[in-house]
Amino acid sequence: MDGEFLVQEKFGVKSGIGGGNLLILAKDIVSCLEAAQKAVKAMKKIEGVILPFPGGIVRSGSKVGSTYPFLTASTNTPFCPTLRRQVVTSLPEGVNAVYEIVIDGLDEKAVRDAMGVGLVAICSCDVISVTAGNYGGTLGQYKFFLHEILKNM
Amino acid sequence: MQSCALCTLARKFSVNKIKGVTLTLKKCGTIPIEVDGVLPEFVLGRKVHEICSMKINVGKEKLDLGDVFEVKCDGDEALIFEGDMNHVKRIGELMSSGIIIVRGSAGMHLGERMNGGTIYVDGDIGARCCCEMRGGTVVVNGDAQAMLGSPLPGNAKGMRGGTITVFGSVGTRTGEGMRRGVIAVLGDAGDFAGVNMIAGTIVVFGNLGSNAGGGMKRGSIIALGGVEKILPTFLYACTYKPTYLRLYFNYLRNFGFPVTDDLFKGSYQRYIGDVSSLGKGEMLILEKP
Repeated sequence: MDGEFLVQEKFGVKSGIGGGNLLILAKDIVSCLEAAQKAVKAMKKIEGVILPFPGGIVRSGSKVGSTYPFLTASTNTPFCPTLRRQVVTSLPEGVNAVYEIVIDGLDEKAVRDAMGVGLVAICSCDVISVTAGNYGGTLGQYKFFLHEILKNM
Repeated sequence: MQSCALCTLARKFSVNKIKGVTLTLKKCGTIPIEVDGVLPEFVLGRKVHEICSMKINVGKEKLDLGDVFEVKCDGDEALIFEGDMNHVKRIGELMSSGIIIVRGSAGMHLGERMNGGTIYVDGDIGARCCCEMRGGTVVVNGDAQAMLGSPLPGNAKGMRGGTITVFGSVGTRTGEGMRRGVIAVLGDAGDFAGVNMIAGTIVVFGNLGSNAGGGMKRGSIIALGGVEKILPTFLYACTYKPTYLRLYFNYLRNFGFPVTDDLFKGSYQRYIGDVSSLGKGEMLILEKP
């Protein structure tokens, strides 16, 4: 309600990859956010990828499946620090904040490169660990192994 | 959260200068006096002789209100009780609207089952006050004894709504069986605060006694001045900065609680519990810098 909404009439469409992700685990919000922002800054420079979430950072990550049959995705409770003792947790001790970065790309190489520069940026910050959602290895045809990506950086 | 009628009123009038129907105790004593039914909605706007002829219980006798209290009418803003009323019980019981001011201490069962209006006590209050309160605001400028906001004997659920603010300390079993509403305490809280709590919020600026939240199902207990002892059925989850607390602190600041920047910016340890019950409650303990 503040002017015009401009939208493109014609788009180019191509199959891509949606997507890679990184989960940053840190001791508090400040250090987690700092690492996430540094990673986003580095990843934006890679051609052929976008970080679809606002600011590139996901505050409310999701997981596959839920209690209800009609709901295919729900809150990523294993990575919620406040729910640590109420659900099965994937968080090591000392982690009080987690942010996720989701990467969509035109091809596998672009997503892999973006994850690589992101990982290097995160590792240079004060974080406890960095991981990624693997969904039991059953979601999607592309698999990005973090150790492998880091080795090639 | 409801707006604070008293604070709105205080901005317009000084509590000491407010005019209304004043009931001054004629004689101090120990025989319990029960003033249930003596409420602003039944008293304000009536003539002095009508108010004097209202019946109240004094021990096992039923007497006229005029035999026990001196009645003076000089306005219709509030119902005012004056004198040492430690033995005057049931002030504001079942109150639904209006303002009651107690210039002195008040006895047991103050505000019991009230569902609206405001009670301001410029002194201490007895045990079992605000039991099963459903709404309204109670401001206590002194200490409160045990079982504030608790269930009545034989019942499971205590306070269901409204706001109780105590600018002194509270006794044991404060907020027992609470099922919503807010209790804020400037001083210390005795043992078993929030025991069997179902929902609602207890905020303690002073020291929180032992075994708080025992049997808690849901709800929040916020300890800003340290905890005596945490039950082993409360499990540490994480340390973080709860966003929703800022809303509560802004609300309590309006009542006159000393809400400093440290409370807004500080980190809180979150304990979930009581896991021997439903275990969806939380205790937030302010971390010392």
